[in-house]
Amino acid sequence: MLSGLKKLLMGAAAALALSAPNTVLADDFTLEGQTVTWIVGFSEGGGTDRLTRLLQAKLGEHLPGNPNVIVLNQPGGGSVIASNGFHENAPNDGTMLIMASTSSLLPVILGSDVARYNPNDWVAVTGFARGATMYAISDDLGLGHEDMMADYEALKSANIRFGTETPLSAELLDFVSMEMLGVDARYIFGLASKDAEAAFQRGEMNVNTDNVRSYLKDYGDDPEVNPVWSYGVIDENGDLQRDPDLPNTPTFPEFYEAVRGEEPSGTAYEMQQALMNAKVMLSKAVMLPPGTPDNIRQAYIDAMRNVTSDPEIIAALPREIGSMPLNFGDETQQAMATGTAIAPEVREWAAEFLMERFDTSLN
Amino acid sequence: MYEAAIAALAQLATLQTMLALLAGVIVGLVVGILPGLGGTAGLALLLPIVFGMEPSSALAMMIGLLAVTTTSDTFPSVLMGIPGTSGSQATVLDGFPMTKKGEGTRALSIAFISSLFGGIFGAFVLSFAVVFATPIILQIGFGEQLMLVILALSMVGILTGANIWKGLAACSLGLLLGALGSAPLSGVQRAAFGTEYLLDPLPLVIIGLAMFATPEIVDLLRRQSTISETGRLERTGWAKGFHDWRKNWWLSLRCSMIGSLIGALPGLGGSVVDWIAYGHAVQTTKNRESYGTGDPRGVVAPESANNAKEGGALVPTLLLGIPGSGSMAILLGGLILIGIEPGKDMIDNNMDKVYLMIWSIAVANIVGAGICFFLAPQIARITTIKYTLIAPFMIGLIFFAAFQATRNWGDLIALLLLSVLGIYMKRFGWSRPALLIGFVLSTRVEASVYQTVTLYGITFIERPIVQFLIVLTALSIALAVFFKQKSSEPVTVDGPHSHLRLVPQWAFVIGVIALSLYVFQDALKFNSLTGMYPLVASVSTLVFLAPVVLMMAFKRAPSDFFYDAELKSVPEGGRSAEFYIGMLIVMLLFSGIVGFVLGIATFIALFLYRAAHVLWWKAILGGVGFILFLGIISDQLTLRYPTGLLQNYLSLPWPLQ
Repeated sequence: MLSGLKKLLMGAAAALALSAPNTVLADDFTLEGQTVTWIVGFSEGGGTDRLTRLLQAKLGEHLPGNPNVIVLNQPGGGSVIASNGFHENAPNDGTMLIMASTSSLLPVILGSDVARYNPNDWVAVTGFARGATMYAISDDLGLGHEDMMADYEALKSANIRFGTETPLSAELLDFVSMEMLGVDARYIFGLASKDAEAAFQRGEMNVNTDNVRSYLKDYGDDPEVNPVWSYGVIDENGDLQRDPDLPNTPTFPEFYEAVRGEEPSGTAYEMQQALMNAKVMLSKAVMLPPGTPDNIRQAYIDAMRNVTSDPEIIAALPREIGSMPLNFGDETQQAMATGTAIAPEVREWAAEFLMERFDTSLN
Repeated sequence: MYEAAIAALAQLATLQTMLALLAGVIVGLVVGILPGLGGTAGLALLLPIVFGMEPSSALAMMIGLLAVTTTSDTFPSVLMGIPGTSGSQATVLDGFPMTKKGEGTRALSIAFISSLFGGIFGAFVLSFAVVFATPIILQIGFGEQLMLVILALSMVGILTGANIWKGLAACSLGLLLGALGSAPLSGVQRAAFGTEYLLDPLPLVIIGLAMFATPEIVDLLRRQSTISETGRLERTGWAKGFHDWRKNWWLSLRCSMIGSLIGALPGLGGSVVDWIAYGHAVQTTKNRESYGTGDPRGVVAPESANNAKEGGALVPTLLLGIPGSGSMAILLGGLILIGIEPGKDMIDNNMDKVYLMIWSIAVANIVGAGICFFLAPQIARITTIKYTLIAPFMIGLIFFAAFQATRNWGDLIALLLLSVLGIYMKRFGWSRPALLIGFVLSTRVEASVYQTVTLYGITFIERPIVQFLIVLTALSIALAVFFKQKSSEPVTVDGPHSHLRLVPQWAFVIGVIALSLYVFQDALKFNSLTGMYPLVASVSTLVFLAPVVLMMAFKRAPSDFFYDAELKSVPEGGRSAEFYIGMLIVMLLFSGIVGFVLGIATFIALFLYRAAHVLWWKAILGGVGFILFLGIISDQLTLRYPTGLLQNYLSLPWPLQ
């Protein structure tokens, strides 16, 4: 009896705790009758656009005052133009937000001139993690996926063909990882991810990289195509864990340790981790403009929590981003700060690597 | 297979699904008519609605939208000379001259029947392709793609205009314009004139508008009182159009095949389909002289191909899960949203959904063409209205269209600058189709040459499909060599081909040389991944210009190297082209202060009052009407317009933002 009452009380307390911020905030902040503009720095139809439009339908329902939410695509420079504009001009009254992605963070990580924004000034609402993996046509490279050492020897002597967009794209994570292992590849540039994937299907490429969810959909039951490693996921303690969707695949650091006999470390690894953080942990991030007041931030965080626990969204999200946990508010802000805080010598290493390997300079 | 097809038909035949299809068709027709918007923008709009819908209805709606945008985009292409989507640029070449001859209804009739035929053909191809096409698509590697690009490029040979060197230089200039902005192989920004706008390459839609729409608007303003020279519309146009199509059904079928094939194969992309079909029509038919002056075959070819392309583009999208075009990418997203996963799995387990799409394409094409036929007589009347009354609205429309490219002020400025290029290319007889083909293919040329050489070296020519394509390309070039296009004007001292008064032509050529040199010196700063392509494009432009410069310097007799439309007939009492260019500059400057919406509305009102001499209150009504139009569109399609300084200080209410 007592325990029953206790349960009930605890439940009520929990319910109160959950609903409290909402009711308090709804008093002083409302978007009633307003239009909220959600900026997407890419064309209609890409992954970032799709996820935004999926959430768009529900966001208005959960924001105070039920505003009309619209998605505005401003493609250009891999979201750099939209991000510059957002950083400089967006009103911080809760009527404008942006869906950032890995490509928005890359120029900041590498210290490129074109990015006039600092995503750490933005106010984080929600981050979407999405697993990433590098996979291969196993027979073509002589991979058995049983013994990492044997696979490593095979990789070193194989004729690896890897299609990617540009040296400065999110695939830099794969380039740096392979460089750390001393594995050489022929990189073929000018291939958007769908073109690289098509070339991989034709067998003209034999290595490809993609998010785990797409890999599983396209090749999950294909015995000839297997992941070499995944990039894992960082848990709440800051430790790297295996990708929950690829439990039998080693993470890159695991693979490295197994074949090199030591844990990865050094400037290259720091760059690798920053890129991993940007690509996996902050695959997409909902951000408010610099200087957004706390009550507005909280209203958005609450709304996004509600949106992402809507049964319809829960059913649809895995199809877009896989099954990694979401992060909110401070957690997202923290991931952003860790991911973009690059020591000068690490950036220097990246600049040298890009120049030496691809004859490409950062600015 | 048959059971699945029948089951799918039963799914489509329910009231709910049919209504969804109809809704999709109507949205598709609207975004098709509006220049600058197409299937991609329309589908993006549907995505949040589709989410949570019953899958059959959602599918019917999305496919209904995609299938008809290339049917209704014919209205602006044929009636106003403004490409409705990038899929109907080639339709302008003969469709608009037909309208100017008073044959607007005939041209529309041909276009709709061709679209209908092409669309259904595309659905037919898809219904077979889903069973066996996978191995064929997987045969098209980098080498094959490179040869497809070269084959497409060889179509330029037949569209060079009266002088081959000027035609090749124009094509080369198109390739050069494609080199501006970020390099596709390295992402490095090159030849950007110090602007952030050119972080990306120039948008195709803006090049299309600048080459065709603005020059035509300016020309019509100077020369004619109505679009239709006779000021009337042929009543019998509908029957004539049908007769025209029937006479050319074989061409329509060939172009439908080309359309669905190019849509399905990787490497070329949808926006070049209409040009290839047009080039094919010119190459393979007799009496070529009439192309470009209002030849019905010039409408049949691109319109059959651009609707057939949709069925083709669905093949890799559904079979491999790899989108065959921009709008297919977003369709793919929509399919995933409603829980359908394209790919092998879908073919094995969801065949009824595949057939539902196929039936939807067919039905949507019939409904869409039907609605267009029904509306056309009213819409076509626009060609008999005094042109000064509609021109300011059309100017508003093309700038609206340009802004949809990247939603950046740079879009408007790029349209203005490139329009100046387009206006003078028209005046001095440089082939604008050649420039456009060069531009459309530029990125593909750059990427596929590099990729093929890096991966295969020269050994790619050992592949059988490559060899077959080499033979086709040789044939295509041979046809261009044997066919000598003659100028429609006499080559005389007092005609436009005169060798006297060359100063304006010198100015134009020097401008193009300066642009080439700028790109050339810029390219030297970069490594080969970034700099090789602009280097080759600028040098080849200069090489093709050399004979033109030599002739201008030394030839002392009329020649087809020389052309200046101003020498043939100076319109009486009309303003110069420069006047209208100045007018557009002032309009943009004013928009920079008060924002695009107020700027263009003021422009429209002033233009109506001063140039069209309407009563002052009617002129203001015109401006206000356009504001309302922009407001409704922005509301329905969730768009925003360029703001000016005013908006920085004042927050204005809808629709003035």
